[in-house]
Amino acid sequence: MENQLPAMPDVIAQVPLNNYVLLASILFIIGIAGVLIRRNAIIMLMSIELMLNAVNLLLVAFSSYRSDPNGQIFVFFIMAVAAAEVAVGLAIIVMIYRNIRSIDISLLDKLRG
Amino acid sequence: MYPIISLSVTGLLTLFLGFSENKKIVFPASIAFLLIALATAFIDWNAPGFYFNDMLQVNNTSIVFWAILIISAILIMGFSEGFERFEFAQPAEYFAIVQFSLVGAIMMVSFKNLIMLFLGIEILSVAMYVLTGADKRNIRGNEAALKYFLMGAFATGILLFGMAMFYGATGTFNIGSGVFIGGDNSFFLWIGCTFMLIGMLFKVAAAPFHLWTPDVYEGAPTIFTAYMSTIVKTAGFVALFKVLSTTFSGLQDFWWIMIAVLVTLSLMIGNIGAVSQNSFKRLMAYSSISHAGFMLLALLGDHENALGSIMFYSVVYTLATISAFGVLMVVSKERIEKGRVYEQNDLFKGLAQNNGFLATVLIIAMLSLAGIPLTGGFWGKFFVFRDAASSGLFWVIIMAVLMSAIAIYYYFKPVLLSMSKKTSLESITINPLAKFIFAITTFGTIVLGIFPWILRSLF
Amino acid sequence: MEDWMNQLDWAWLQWLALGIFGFGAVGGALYLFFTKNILYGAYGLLTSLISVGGLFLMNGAEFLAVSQIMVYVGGILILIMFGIMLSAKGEKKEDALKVVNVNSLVSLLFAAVMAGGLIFYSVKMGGSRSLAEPSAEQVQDLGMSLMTTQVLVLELVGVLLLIVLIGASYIAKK
Repeated sequence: MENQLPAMPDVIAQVPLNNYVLLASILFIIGIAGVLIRRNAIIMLMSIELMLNAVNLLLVAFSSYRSDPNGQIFVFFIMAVAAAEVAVGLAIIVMIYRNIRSIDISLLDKLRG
Repeated sequence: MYPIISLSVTGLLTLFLGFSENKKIVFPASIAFLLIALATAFIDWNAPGFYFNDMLQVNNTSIVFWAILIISAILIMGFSEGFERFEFAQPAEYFAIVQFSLVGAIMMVSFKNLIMLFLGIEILSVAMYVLTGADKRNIRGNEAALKYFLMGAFATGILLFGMAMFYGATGTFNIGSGVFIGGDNSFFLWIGCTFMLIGMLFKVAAAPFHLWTPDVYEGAPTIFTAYMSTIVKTAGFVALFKVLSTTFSGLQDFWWIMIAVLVTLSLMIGNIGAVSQNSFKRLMAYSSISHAGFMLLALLGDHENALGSIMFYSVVYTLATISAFGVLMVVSKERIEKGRVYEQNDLFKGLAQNNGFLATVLIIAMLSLAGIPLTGGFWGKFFVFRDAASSGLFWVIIMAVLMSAIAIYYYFKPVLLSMSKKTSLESITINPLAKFIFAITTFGTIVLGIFPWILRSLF
Repeated sequence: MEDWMNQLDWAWLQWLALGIFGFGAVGGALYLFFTKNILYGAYGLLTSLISVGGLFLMNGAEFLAVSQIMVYVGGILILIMFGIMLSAKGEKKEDALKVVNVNSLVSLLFAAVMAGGLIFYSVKMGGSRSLAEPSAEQVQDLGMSLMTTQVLVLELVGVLLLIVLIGASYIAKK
């Protein structure tokens, strides 16, 4: 494995890339399963965050493997966008809650993905 | 590149206009701002180039698409005159978000780097999540916003995973050079290609990633349904084409069969699903799924013609869709039943007798969507069929023709209803601006039906 | 002492770190997937996010590891917690938010192992002198690249955040 990143002590650089890809894929799959199976809007939202995290891990691993900063910059932007998405999502959830509190409490459970 | 700057700045200006006493100024100012953006788009005409370290690619093709997107936005926004009457209206915020969302759409048609694609999709999508929920007191709108948000964010996650895998295989986010199969990385590349395709097909509502479409189209305020089914779709298809024709052109054998299957599924689900719909907006949602299938058909042919066909198809589809949703908005404005706007198909009953102009607009739009000759929709379908024929996939084309026949049935439902007789008609008022927009869209549909080469010869 | 440390093969250490963080990431995710209580799910997500931050550290992305903790754990997770509290449903509002301390022993143990691993790891990292200088350089690279080649993206992220600011306040307002 060729890892040129100077910041990496030799000890750390020895974990083969495959482990990270495997780990990221497992996280990603748990996230997908969470979105598809769970019916609670907030848990679905958290599962989506999990998916984005898996992507971040993958990008960081590839970035250090190739010693190329672009992957890390992408991760930086994904973090910003994820924060933005969560803000909008929670605004929507709060709006729904405000409306259904007096009308239909089970609306959140009725949603199908 | 200039429209991006222009729209970002004018979006901010629009927000400041919201502080002014007279809220009526926001609407004409926003239309003026969009026109300015349209004018700035042509500064780069015949001056192709790359901007900001290969982030953006500008050429005449992308300028044409910018113009299409901005003009569509102007036509749709025209229907929001008198919006301030509504309880939920916050005109400044709403027009500002529309202008910012166009920035995202423009990024999607002229990106050169996957970061720009991702961010463009995200800007457009986040704006749409907000606009879908703009009618805050309407529970259906709220539910639609939540569903759209969850499915959209999910699709973003999948798209990003694909991009990460692509980066792992190639070491770059630039889409300039084609990639080649072979070596240890081909597995990453396959996964990257598949996941990026899935993520983008979610956004353009192609089956089997269409599950959110009917509910979201039905729940969203009609004006944003129109926005969603025209601008998001056009930008999404151009982005899809760009990714497939540049970066993944070396993988064509791989994605080709996938697209062929998706075309079949989209056409079947869209057209068969639409037959049993009573709500006009749900009917249009299924119709939009089937049109996604037709537009995907263009990607099966060779890449020289595909972009022209996609451009033509999205223009005629946009014109017809704006007409259809515009008529729905005008007619349903007066009909409120059980606290919500009435949007079933039989809303159009007796329309021809009541208001001949609106009925004509609706009928021409429906004929164009169904692909009847002498309307633009016919040529749109003709071009994509011709493209697909060059690929030799005849079973898909036979399928598509069969499905177009089914489509005629459900597009004629509103047409026949509008011709039927009905007593006790309430009068419908159309404001002059809406009339003007209807004139443009209908005239455009017919002109493109008779002289398709006007647009097709652009590139 | 120094010689003895250098002679030892530390390869097992990174496997241990990978094991701990990987276990934390996947375990937290699985907990989020299976739990019936939204709030516990948020804790599962927290574990997962912090572990992924640790994995960033192992890949030499110190800046991102810190951002991960600050943005995700400090920002996004707090937002989600607010969302849970604002939209808690159940017979009474308190029911959904009631936190019962079960498995406290296990979680304490887990936390101790995590903390032990992190401390041990960071102590070991601190010992290697080659870390400090290039790391600063790397952050500098990141910053330079953000302000030069990626400046358009940075500006457009600003547009996105503006949309979110307007949109979220507009939607959530009464």
